Amino acid sequence: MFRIDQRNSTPIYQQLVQEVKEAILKGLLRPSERLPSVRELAVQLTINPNTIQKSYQELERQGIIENLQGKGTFVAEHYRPTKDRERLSILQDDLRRILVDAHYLGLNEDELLRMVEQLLTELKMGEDNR
Amino acid sequence: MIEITDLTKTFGASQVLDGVSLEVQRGRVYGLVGPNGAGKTTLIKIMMGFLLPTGGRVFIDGQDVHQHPRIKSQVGYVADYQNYYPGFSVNDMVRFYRGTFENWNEERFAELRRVFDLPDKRTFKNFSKGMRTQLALLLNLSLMPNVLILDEPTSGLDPVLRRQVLGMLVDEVARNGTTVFVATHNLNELERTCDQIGMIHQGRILFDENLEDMKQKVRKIQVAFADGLPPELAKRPDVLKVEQQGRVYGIVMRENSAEMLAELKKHDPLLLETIDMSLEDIFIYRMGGLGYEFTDIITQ
Amino acid sequence: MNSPTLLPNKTLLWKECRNGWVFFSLLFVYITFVSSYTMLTELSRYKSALADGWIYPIMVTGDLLAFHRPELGLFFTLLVVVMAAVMIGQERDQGTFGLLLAMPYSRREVLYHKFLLGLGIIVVAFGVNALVMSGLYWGHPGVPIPFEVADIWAWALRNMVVLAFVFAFTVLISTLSGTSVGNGILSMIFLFFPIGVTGLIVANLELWQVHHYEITENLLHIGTLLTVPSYIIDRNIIHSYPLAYMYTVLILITLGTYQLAQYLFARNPMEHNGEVLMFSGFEWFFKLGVAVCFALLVVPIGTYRSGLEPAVGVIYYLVAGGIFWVLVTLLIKWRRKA
Repeated sequence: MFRIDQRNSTPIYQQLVQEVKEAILKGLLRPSERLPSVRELAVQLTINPNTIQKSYQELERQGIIENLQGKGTFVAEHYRPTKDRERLSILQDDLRRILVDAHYLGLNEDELLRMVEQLLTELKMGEDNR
Repeated sequence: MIEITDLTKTFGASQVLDGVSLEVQRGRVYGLVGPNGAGKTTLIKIMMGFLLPTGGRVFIDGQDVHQHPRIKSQVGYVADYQNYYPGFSVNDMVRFYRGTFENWNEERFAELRRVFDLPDKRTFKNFSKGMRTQLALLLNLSLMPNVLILDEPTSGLDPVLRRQVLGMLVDEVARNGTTVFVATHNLNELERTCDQIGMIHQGRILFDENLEDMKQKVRKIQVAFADGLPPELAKRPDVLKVEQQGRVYGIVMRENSAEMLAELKKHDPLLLETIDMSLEDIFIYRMGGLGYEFTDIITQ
Repeated sequence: MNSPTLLPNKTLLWKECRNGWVFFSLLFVYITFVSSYTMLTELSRYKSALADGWIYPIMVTGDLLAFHRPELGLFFTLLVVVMAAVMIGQERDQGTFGLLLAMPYSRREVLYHKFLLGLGIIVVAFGVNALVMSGLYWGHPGVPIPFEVADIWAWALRNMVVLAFVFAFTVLISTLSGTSVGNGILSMIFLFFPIGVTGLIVANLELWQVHHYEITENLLHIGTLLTVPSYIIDRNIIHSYPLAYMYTVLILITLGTYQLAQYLFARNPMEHNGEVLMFSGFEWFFKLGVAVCFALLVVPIGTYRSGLEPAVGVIYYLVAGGIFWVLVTLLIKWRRKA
């Protein structure tokens, strides 16, 4: 179900977070459904369990999964991912990456916002959404 | 946990280990990387008490391995090649291990025995490397080790077996929190399974870090200029290496450097972006940064 | 280090047995063949001869039984040397020390168990046979057997004590040499070294036409005395001294040899397994010894026919010594690992 691409520059634990989210989005995992344990997944993917643990912790932090003591790890019961909501989450991650790059490129907040406005004008989205 | 302090080993005229010190916390997976002849196998043989060090000490779970060999009843060991008694069979070796290691777990053994397809009574004379490694794992996991030391466990194995070996290792860590020390050539496997990485070259540890930290400390900037890279930028102290292909330069930086990016931007580049580096690249540049020429790490 | 316990580890003993059973059986079978079995055959021959109406000269022709045949003492020595040489040497040759010494056994424990088994088999082989022969003796009261039960046990004891030393000595040599073959050859050489050297000296003295009866006699006597296997090859040598004293000294020396072997084994640089010498510090001593001994051996043989003048003789010794020095150096180099 989950695939890790080592040649991708994204850290392994982050790839796994993405994979879980996409699996939920595609309907492969449903709310209240049990996820493989840290151990099962570690063996399946031959990856250090600490890395798996880190992904699960991140997913828990984002409220996507929850750990029920003694029973296992499950997709959050009240997590209702609509396609949009999931896409939004992915978009947020992409945006975060872009902002980080922009920072390193030396763009400050004003320059960035100006860039966004310019693009919005080009795409005529700003007008349509008013 | 494992603690090695200032280990040296001389073979006649050559110094194979030159002041090796490292520490592996409980439950961590430590990967020792280095080219052939760097001293990995010698280090491991001294850790297991087979070779005597010229100087320095090795502690496992707080006890000096050479003075208290009993502590090795908590240690599993998979050598680079298993020299089993030629006249022995699998059953004989099992009997030997069962009687030697006080924590031998018969249920675990039965469980693992089902996984492997090894002949009970045939003698070892015709066992392939793959079979020997399988047996080594079978024996060493059944003794319920606190610490597991492996010397190139997957080298020379077919992909199916390799996966099996890695899977079992990772399972052992997940299940029992075993401390693992593995010497390997294979950066792919290293990256997936290890928390901490040590690089050994010519008998010295060149660096010894958390894998995560390592990856964060080296970044590559891709930049293109119409008129070429300003030379003063290439000479900055935090620049490890500069590659060039046509107008595009790949600049490897020691740390994330917003400064460098700002400097580059001033010169009006055609292209400017930061990219992550593969573990192999990181190694090559780190060693270059330490003054070594490094041309030979195997990845598969 | 934990206080060493004398109680053997069952598993380690089993492992040594499993590995060495071939030699153990060989030793046991051979000793039985030349003692109990021979006695049994002789007795049955006597009885069947008696049934046919004539008297079979029991154990008179050739004194078939082991303790009247000097060459058997040599065979026993050889068997024990080979057994001990292989017990240590094979683990080096096959690389199995790499596994064994990485296990939670101390080196002291490992060597101790090898000793236990080696000495054990010697004691068992001679003890069992002595018991059987005593039984046979008492079971045939009318037969004119030309020795007493006391002789049987004296023979058994003599062999046990002497062969225990031979075993210990070979193990000691095995801590200094890195191959089974080397262990065996060096042990045989050093065991017979005293008589060998005195014999060579005497031969060379004769070559130089120095005839002094008393000196040569004394030299040969000392040489034989210092050559322990001679006690089972020619038992007269041991009988010229109080036995209790001789045995006590031998046993003490054996214990000392054991401790020395333990000391050296604890410091064995295992990286030299498979090489001629385990400790490279001995190289000069070893080469010198070989050069001197072989020169003393070869020159008299070589110059047997022709006469020898002092000036020329010295050159011969030096040349022979030099050649053997080079040969040994080459041998050591050949076996040395990069």
